[in-house]
Amino acid sequence: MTMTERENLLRVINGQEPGWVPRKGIVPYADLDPEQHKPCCVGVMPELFPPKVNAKGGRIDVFGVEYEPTDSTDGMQLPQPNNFILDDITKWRDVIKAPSLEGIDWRAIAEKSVERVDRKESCVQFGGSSGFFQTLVNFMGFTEGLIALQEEPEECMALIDYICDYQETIARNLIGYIKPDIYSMGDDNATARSPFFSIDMYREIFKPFHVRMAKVATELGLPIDMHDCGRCEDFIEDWREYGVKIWNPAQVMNDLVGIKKKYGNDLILTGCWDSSGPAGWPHSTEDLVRQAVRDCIDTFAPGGGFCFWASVYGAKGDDLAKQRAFWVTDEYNKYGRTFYQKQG
Amino acid sequence: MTKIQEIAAAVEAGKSKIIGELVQAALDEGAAPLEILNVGMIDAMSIVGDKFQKEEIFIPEMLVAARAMKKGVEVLQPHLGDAEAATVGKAVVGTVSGDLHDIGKNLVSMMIESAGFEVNDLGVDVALNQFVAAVEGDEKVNVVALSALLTTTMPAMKETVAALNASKARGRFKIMVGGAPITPEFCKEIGADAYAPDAASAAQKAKELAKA
Repeated sequence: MTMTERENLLRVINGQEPGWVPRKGIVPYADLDPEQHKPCCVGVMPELFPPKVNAKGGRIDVFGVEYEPTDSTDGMQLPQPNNFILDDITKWRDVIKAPSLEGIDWRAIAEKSVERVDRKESCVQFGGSSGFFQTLVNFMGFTEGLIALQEEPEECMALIDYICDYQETIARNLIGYIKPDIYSMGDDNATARSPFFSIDMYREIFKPFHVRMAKVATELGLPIDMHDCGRCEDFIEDWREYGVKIWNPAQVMNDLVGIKKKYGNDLILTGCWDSSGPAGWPHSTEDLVRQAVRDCIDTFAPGGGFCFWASVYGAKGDDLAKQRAFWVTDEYNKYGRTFYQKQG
Repeated sequence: MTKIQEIAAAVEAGKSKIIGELVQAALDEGAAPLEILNVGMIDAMSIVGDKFQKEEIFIPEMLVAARAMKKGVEVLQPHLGDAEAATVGKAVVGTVSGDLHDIGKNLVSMMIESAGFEVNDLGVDVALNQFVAAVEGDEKVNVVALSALLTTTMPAMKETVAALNASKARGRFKIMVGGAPITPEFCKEIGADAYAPDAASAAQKAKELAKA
């Protein structure tokens, strides 16, 4: 009997060599897949409250942060510049109010969130925690948020504790009904060149709350997928302490070859794709894009411990980006689906 | 420790709350305002930039140092007299059209200001004609720093550089570019004068460009 995409991904998570290289989507054009493979994994992050949208079409989150979509990101949203809700960290108690969770029908929300997922074909990845650093900078902007971390660490921790209470309550109420295969956490706390802050600051201010959110999963024996962009390899040892098994997107400014050698299949690398590299540039050639796919797979897929994920970003209506996405997807199908068979 | 050394230490440590008093005390003791600026602040920020490049410190430490210097300059400003002598030029800074990312641009803006430049920060999502107007409308501008974080806004950077290169004021300013997807090769390809990989390098590069 043929292995499903789900079973294939679980082999990777369990440290085994899979039948083919699993693919965790190609944003934002996964629908261009000519072979229409089922997703190996479906991300689930239930909405507890009806979405709110501002006049520009940007979402407004539960804390009142307003976001703005841009054409250059094909509609992806960032907090509105110069419209932050918190300018003084010491005043956060007056400004930041988590909505009440009383009366929420957790079972109904959880079941609705997975009703369209074919669980024989796809793993369910439950988004248990969005980033605490990201939340802080969404409230304050990067500049003021980073200054607050330096000048008022105790106030920052008090705010993060409050956000963590909110997120942990939601995660613990939903996880038993969703019954995920993977639990995801994330915090984009690095630039392309280095972490935003020192490892000591991470351990003091953020790690205790990441540990708390991780326990929601590890108490149930679930693997944790950590989302962290940029050069964030300094955090790997800490992640592993609290149960991170998968890192996405493992980006090329990290020593990915060294990391794969060091951790083997104990740390699954998702991505290893040069998001800012020539294959993503507007006028990349087909040969260059296809070669980039093969190079990525050749370098990181041997032995397992790897999921293919490639970002192909384009502005709204950018046909060149769609063309690149098709080449990436098609080459993955031709090369990645048969990679382990070719290896013998 | 002299008062100027105390100022330098306070800038390096990002002590915004005490910097004003230290600058005032140094002035009261008769220290030269330009020496306070150059040795107590600009040199101190240069050390901060070096430590950042070596990853001995990170962005929060750099931000509080830059903010401390800004507070100190507020006290010092009325005593500087001829402002032209105190600055190495004026920089126009901004993130190119279609790109809302601000942290890289903000860091560059702060570090360039800390290197002794007057800065006109145009913000994010800046149209190319705003950049052109900013350089053509101000004869003091000798550096323009453009930021882009997205591969999708690299074309906007290219168009902005082309517009600046076509400007009637082109002879008196240099163009510097940076941001996550930007490389020295891309800088050369689009006709900019310099590439800076990070904010500390941008400050050093701006000083070199201003002297060129």
